[in-house]
Amino acid sequence: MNMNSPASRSMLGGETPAHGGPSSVLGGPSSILTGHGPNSVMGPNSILGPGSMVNPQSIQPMQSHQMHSLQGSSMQMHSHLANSNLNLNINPASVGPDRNPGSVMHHSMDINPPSVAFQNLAIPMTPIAYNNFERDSLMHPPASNIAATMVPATPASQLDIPMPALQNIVSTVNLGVPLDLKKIALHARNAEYNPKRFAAVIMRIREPRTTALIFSSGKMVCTGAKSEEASRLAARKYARIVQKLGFQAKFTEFMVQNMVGSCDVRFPIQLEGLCITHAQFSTYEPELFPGLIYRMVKPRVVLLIFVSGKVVITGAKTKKDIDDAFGQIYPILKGFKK
Amino acid sequence: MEKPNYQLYRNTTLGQALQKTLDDFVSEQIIPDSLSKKVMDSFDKSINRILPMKAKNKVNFRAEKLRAYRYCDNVWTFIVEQVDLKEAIDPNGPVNRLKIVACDGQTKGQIGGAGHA
Repeated sequence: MNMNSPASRSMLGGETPAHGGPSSVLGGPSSILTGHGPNSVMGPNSILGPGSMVNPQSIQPMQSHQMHSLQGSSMQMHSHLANSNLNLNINPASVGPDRNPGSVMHHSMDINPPSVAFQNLAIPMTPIAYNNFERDSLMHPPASNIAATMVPATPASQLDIPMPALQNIVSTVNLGVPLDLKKIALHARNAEYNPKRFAAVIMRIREPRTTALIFSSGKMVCTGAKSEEASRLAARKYARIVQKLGFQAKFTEFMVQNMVGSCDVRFPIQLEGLCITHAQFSTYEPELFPGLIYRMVKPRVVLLIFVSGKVVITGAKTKKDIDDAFGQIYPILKGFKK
Repeated sequence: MEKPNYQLYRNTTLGQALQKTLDDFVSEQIIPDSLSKKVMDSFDKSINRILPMKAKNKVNFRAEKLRAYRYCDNVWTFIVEQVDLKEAIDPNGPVNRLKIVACDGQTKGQIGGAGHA
């Protein structure tokens, strides 16, 4: 396993009390991906800036169990990824969003020689996905916008491409001091504490409108923010509230654990066809859930795709993951327009 | 689990009057302090038992804003602002700020006490 990520990150990810977001419902975005062996395709991506976590698998503790059973499909992933990366080389213009200028090159890095033999397995996704790479490059500048809707500079022909908007961010902070939850619940406003049901104080603030779970270990989960900055600000406010109640709270190990974005492509989608051609990524059981669950490999996110054309992207660690994922899925969805 | 006898009803007019009378008795040395405490405990017990059974009054109100809430030890506390108490013809108009303390009632419904803050 490549341990590019700081040790603290993987530790914290393992014991995060509540991951939140649909990813947990769906068994986590990792379940398909865990097949990556030590020579993971993500390896060369250590070039990336520290903010862009391309190898979130290092967080997943269950990885080793599923490695063996998924060997076969992991090879498919490799080939698919290598394939898509080859395609992406045409597209050096896909500069990442603001916070991570280091990621300019990251698409072109990993060409995995052993996977070449399996290229025929990577059938459906790649060709469609990267046909309009010029669109991909156009898509990125507005990616830094929080309430991304449309770039004014976009040519008229591109105007109908929607952009995903962030809906929820889950972050964790370690306040680094054990907390007396009863004291917090009795003295802070807008706090709920019912140890019989849940071992954390649930606290809310109005601006940014968020909810925090505060644990006696001093760890805290902040949910509901609409942007990474808002999430950080909210977490700081909670830390300040705890501080004012007389605890020596620090603000350490702030980490975004999950980002959820959503988008409306504004045309109905034929999910059955998508499920058949992208069988290796898709789960579509209309009797269980009306949406198609698409587990994308790179970026490693999960997409919920609905007949109505609404798309939810979750499991991402950065806004760029969401934008990249949508950039990849949009052309595919266009191919399955009803 | 035995339901606790909340002491919050000592703040009611009835409770305050009883407390004052007992205090007077104690100061005039008619009864000892311990008896005064015992009477108040008995008052807590009775009112906690009777209120859920007998009191059928209902108050409807509408508040502009929930300023703060708290849930701890099985007690909800709400602080609401600009409360319009329906049916209570109040010459002063809406109440500026109202604190609602809601405890676990005997029955399924939650019955609590309220007081101006």
